[in-house]
Amino acid sequence: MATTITIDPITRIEGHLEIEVTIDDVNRQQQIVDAKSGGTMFRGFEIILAGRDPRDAAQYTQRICGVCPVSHALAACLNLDNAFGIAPPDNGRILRNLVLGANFIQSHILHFYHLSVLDYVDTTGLLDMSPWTPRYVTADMATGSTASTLVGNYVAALAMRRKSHQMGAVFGGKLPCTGSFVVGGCTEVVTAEKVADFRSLLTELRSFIDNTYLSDASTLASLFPSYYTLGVGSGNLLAFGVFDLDGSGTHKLLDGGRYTDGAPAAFNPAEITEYVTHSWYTPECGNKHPSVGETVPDPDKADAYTWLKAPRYLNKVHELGPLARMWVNGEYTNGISAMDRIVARAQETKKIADAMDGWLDELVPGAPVYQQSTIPEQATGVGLTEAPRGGLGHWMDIDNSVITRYQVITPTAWNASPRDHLEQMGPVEAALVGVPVADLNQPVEVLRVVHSFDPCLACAVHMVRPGDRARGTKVLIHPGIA
Amino acid sequence: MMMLSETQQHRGVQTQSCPILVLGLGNILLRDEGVGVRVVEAMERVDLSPGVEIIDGATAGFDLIDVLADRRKVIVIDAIDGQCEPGTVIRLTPEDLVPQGNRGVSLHEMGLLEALTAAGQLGVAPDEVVIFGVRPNNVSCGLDLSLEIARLVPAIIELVLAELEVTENKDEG
Repeated sequence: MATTITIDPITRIEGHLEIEVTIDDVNRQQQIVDAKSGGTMFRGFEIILAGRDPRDAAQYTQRICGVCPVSHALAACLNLDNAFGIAPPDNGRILRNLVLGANFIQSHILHFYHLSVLDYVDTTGLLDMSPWTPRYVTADMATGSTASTLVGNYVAALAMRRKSHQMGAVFGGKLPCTGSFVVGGCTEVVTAEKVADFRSLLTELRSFIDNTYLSDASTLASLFPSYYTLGVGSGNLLAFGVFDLDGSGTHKLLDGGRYTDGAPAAFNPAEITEYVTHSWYTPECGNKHPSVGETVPDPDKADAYTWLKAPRYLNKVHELGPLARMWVNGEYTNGISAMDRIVARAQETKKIADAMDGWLDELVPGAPVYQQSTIPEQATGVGLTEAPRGGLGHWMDIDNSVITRYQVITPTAWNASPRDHLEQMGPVEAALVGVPVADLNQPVEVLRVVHSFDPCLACAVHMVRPGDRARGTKVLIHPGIA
Repeated sequence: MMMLSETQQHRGVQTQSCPILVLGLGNILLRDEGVGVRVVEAMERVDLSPGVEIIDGATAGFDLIDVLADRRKVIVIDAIDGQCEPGTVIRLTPEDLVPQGNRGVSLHEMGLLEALTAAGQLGVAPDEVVIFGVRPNNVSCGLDLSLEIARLVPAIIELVLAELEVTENKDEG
């Protein structure tokens, strides 16, 4: 007999996510037959930015998320560079890459040690207080000395995350949110001393990645090989590309690309469409390219179950993230699954950290770090890059020198998206179907699959509507209140 | 009893060279609430022995765990909410503190006591923790300490230095 379980909130992620799964017997195995992924918050950054100085976008959009703010800073600056018609000098381009790289390293280490690995380890008797309890415990979890080994680097990983951000702050001013990303480049100057400071921290981080992170990821994979066959999802992958290696915009450390219906293909941002069939927005917001996107909330909409829109590429479901990036660049070809996402993420961390050492050598102390510019009266812009969790896009219209439209599509919007106009499930939803659940009271398998995507839904401001106690925790920010 | 892996080569890299930590906590946006941070900012100019590290811990909770890990001694300076006059400075230990009532909803709820307990669960608790608690005079929005508390900063620094000297004498003796 079918049972429906709702896990709300999903913990050990960034932001607010509700997962509903229906579990039934299939060929005498208890497994997930249906899934719904719901983003349970709305803040309206796109609405907030309307009417503001375009340059503010680089600061405001960072507040979308405290784990991946630098990606938003970069997407906004690329958007502004595009709209203003300028390009950063090499130093500026490299500084942006270095600070973004520092944020990637912090985020990936966080994901493995502090968000993911506890799904696979029984920490009863080890970690018996909040924030580690209450928790699921299942018979297949690692125990004893194996558990200790996997959790043993928890504190070291906290220190490494802090060092990553200290490193990024050398050129970012401060992290999580940086003040040094501006249209036309970066505001922090390059000195030999700063380069040395950055490199010293990078060397420590690379040692941790090479000797500890990669080996712990490998240990986890060897203990749970079944997760190489679980959490597959749509099988389609999409990357926008990130870390420009020169000023051309077409030569990156990780190029953009696609893997659709089993074949590689090119990425053309014009082929993105967002749908709102099952999202809490008015119908006019749907079936739109983000350059003409709208954000008009409708929390009463029938058949809707999420604040996330459903981004699709040529009407097909695509997954974004480290696995997608490494795959389309030919760097990871093992497979697509929950465990492949975890292992590919670790390998990507090494690739980026190693490249950063070379980028430091390319910096020229004293050379310009940004290009001056003036705000255009009227313009459109687009900024495409990658956050740790996948491709990130910002689109903007400027009129009368202020923002008249700003649209953001985050990677988790793709990954945790609801069904679209064709009732195709989003990647997380599709990845859950077919996953066996051993114990209905301890559905940790759901967490293992969801966490493999490293969801980042960003923190909410919760406001309950007056007089509506029966509604529970749906939230709405009234436009006009910043 | 927690048994952690022995291959912890990255843990304690910092604390081996700096077994003593002076940690200033607080929110500098709320005037005297930030007294701990203002004290350690002032201490940057003081000559301390090489085994002592000064850190501005701001409003971190969970993120303090690796900063506290494996220290021989931690001296914390923070504003306290206690039954005493504003401007009073008290020496406390963690046993004197009352838990904040963590509902387990958000990591933002974790304070110093919870971070110390968590560090204990992870097997990396510092050996000794001393807290200099300062009863604030004014915790309204602002970046400056109130005059009454600002005047106390040199005296608080003297207390910390005296505590450091006691620690060093104990080590040598």
